[in-house]
Amino acid sequence: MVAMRTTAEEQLERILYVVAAASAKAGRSLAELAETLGVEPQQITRDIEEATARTFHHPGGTVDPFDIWFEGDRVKVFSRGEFRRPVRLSPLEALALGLGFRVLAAGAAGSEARREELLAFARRLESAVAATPPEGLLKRFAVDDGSPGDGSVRAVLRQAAAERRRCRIAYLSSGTTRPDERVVCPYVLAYANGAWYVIAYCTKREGVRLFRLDRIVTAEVVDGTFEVPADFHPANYITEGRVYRADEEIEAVVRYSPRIARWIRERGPVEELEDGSVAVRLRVADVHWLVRHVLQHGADAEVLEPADLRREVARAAERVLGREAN
Amino acid sequence: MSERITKLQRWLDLISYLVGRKVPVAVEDIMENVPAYAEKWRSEDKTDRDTARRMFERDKDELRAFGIPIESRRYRINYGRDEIDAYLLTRRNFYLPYLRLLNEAWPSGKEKPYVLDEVVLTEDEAQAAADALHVASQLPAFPFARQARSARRKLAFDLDAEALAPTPEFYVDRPGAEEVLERLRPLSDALLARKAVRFRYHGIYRGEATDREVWPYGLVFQRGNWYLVGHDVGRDAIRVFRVGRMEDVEPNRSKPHTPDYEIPSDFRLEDHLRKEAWELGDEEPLVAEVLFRFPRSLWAERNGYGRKVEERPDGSVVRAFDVQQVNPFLRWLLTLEGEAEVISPPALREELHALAREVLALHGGQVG
Repeated sequence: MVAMRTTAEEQLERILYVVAAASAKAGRSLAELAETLGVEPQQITRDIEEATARTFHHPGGTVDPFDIWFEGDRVKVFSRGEFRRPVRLSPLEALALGLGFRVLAAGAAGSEARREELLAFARRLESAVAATPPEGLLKRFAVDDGSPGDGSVRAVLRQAAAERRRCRIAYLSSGTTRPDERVVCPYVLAYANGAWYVIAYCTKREGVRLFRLDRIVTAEVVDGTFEVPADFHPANYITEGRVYRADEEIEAVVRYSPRIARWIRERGPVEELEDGSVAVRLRVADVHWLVRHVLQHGADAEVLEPADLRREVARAAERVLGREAN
Repeated sequence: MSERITKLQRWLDLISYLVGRKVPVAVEDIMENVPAYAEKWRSEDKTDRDTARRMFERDKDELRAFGIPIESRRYRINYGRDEIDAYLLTRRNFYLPYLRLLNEAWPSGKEKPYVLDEVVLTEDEAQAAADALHVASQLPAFPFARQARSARRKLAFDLDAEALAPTPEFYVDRPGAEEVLERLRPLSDALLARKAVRFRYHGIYRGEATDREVWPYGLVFQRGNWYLVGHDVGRDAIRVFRVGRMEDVEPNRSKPHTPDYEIPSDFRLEDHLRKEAWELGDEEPLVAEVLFRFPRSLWAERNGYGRKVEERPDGSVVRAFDVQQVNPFLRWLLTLEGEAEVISPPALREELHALAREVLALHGGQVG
C-alpha cells in the first residue's frame, strides 16, 4: 500500500464525518468507516489521534469537547456538544452534485418537462444542503456525456436495466443494409471512449453482447423479466476503453507512427520500433471496433498482424474509394 | 505548550470555539481563548501577536473556502466611537439540514441533536440525487470525484442505501486517465482562483508543439475527453485545448489570492459544448456536403451529425457540415468505411481519397 498524500482539508472532511457517524449509540465499525471513506483504517486512527490530542487545551467551559474511544473494532464518540451531524456540502461538493444533475438533465429522455423538473429540484436541493449554492462555479464546468440523439434510447435501456425488464432493439450493425431486430436483457450501460454501450444478453445469439447506443435506432420495453447472472462482471467485456469478450477475443498488433507515438505510450505498454514508431498488442472481441480504431488514425496507424485483419482495413479503405470489396 | 500544532488541530480548535454560539464572538475573544492562537497572542512581543492574528485570518479564510460558513459581523462599541470585528458560525448554517423521504417518518431512535431545517424529498428526487453523485464520482478523470463521494456520504447519512441505489450505468476510465487527472488538478485550481496557466501544447496531427499562456475560462468534458476553454494570451482569442495534449502545466503561483484576469460577462461555456473535433480548429471554415447511404443515414439523423440538405428516394441523405479543421473530419469520414462520401467541395473529396489510398497502401492493397 502506497502511503497516500493526505491534506489538512481531506483530514477535516474525514474527521467531521467520522465524529458524526460514530456519535450514533452503537458507534461505527472502523472497517466500515474506512470503506465508506476510501482510506486504510490506520488513517482514520491517525486522524482521530490528531483531532483528540488537544481536547484538554481548551479553557474549561469554552467548548464541549468530544471523546472518541475504541471498543473492539468499533469507534464510539461521546459528545454533548458539536459535530454530531455532518456539515453542509462544501462548494466543491455542491459543484459535483450540481454537475451530476446537469448531466442527468441533459440526458433526460427527450422530455423538456423532465429536464426542467430535474433542474428545478437540483437548484432547490443545492441551496438547501450546500453552505453556498454552486451557481457561480457551475458556469465554469460543463459535462456532456453525449447521449446519442435525444437520449430516449438510453433512458429506456437504463430504466429497463434498473427494473430488469427485456427490451426489443433495432440495431444497425456495421456494413448492413437494414437495422436488425433483437430482444435483449440489458444488464448494464457503460460509457467508454466517448461512446455509450449496453452490455446485454442477446436472446438471438444466446450470449452476452455489446451494443453501441448510437447504433440502436429504437428501443422499447417488452414482456418478460430477467436476472443478471451472479458471475457477470462488466469488466470482462469492457475495460480501459476497449470492448472485448474474454471468450471470443482476437489479438492484433498495431503500429503507430512516430508522429502520434507519444500519445500512445501514455495509454499503456508499447514496443518501441527503430524508426520511432511504437507497436501495441491489442486484444479485442469486435473486429469492426479494431478496424474503426485503426482508420480513425488515418495513415498514422497500421495493422501489422494478423494478415486477415490487414485485409479488413484494406477493404474498408477500398470502400471509401468507391470500389466494391470482393 | 511545546508540541507542534497541526493545521487540522488549529481548524478544529477554531470551529469548536465558534460553532453553536448565539451571538457573534469578538476577534479579541477568539485570540484570547482559542488555544491555537492564545499562547502567541498573550505574548509581550508584538511580532508574536501579529503572527497569531495572521494565523487566525488565514485559517478563517481557508475554512471559508472549504465551505465552513463563518460570517463576519462588525460591532460598534463605546457609544459608536470604536468598531470591533466579530464572527459567527451558526449551527443552522454549519450542519446539514435533516433529510427525510416524503411519507416516511424520521426513524425512531435516531436522534436529532440540533434545531435545523428539514428537507423533504420524494423517492424520485432522492434517486436523482444519488444518480447525479454517481455520475460525478465516476466521470473519467473528474478532479472533484473525492468531493462527489463525500457529498454522497453526507446525503446517505439520513437517506438509507435503499433510497440511494446506484444506477445501472458506469463510466470506464481511458488508459492515460491518471495523466489527464494530474494536468486537470492544477488547471481546475487555476480556474477556481482565476490564475493564468502556461503549458506546452501538442497538436496531435500537426506534429509541432507550442508554448501557450492561457487564462482559464472553463473546463469541459465531452466525447470522453477533457478540454480547457480559455483566453489564449499569445493569440488574443478564445481557444479550446484538449487537456490530454498538454505538457508541463504550470499555474502562475505569484499572488495566489489575487485573480490574474476577469472572465467576460458575455462568455458562455455552453457555446463551446457539443463540438466535434473538426469544429474546434482555427482554419478558414468550409462547408462540406456528405452523402450518407441508407441505413447510415438513419444513424446520422439520430445522432445529429451535420444539417439535412436533401433526402433521396433510396433513403440516403445529404448533410452539410461546417468544417474548421479538415484532418479530423477526414479521419472521421474514413471510419464510416465508405457509407458516407463527400459530394462537395471536390478538393475535399480528393483529400479523403488520398488518405484512403495511403491507408490502403500501408495495408498492402492495390492502389490506383
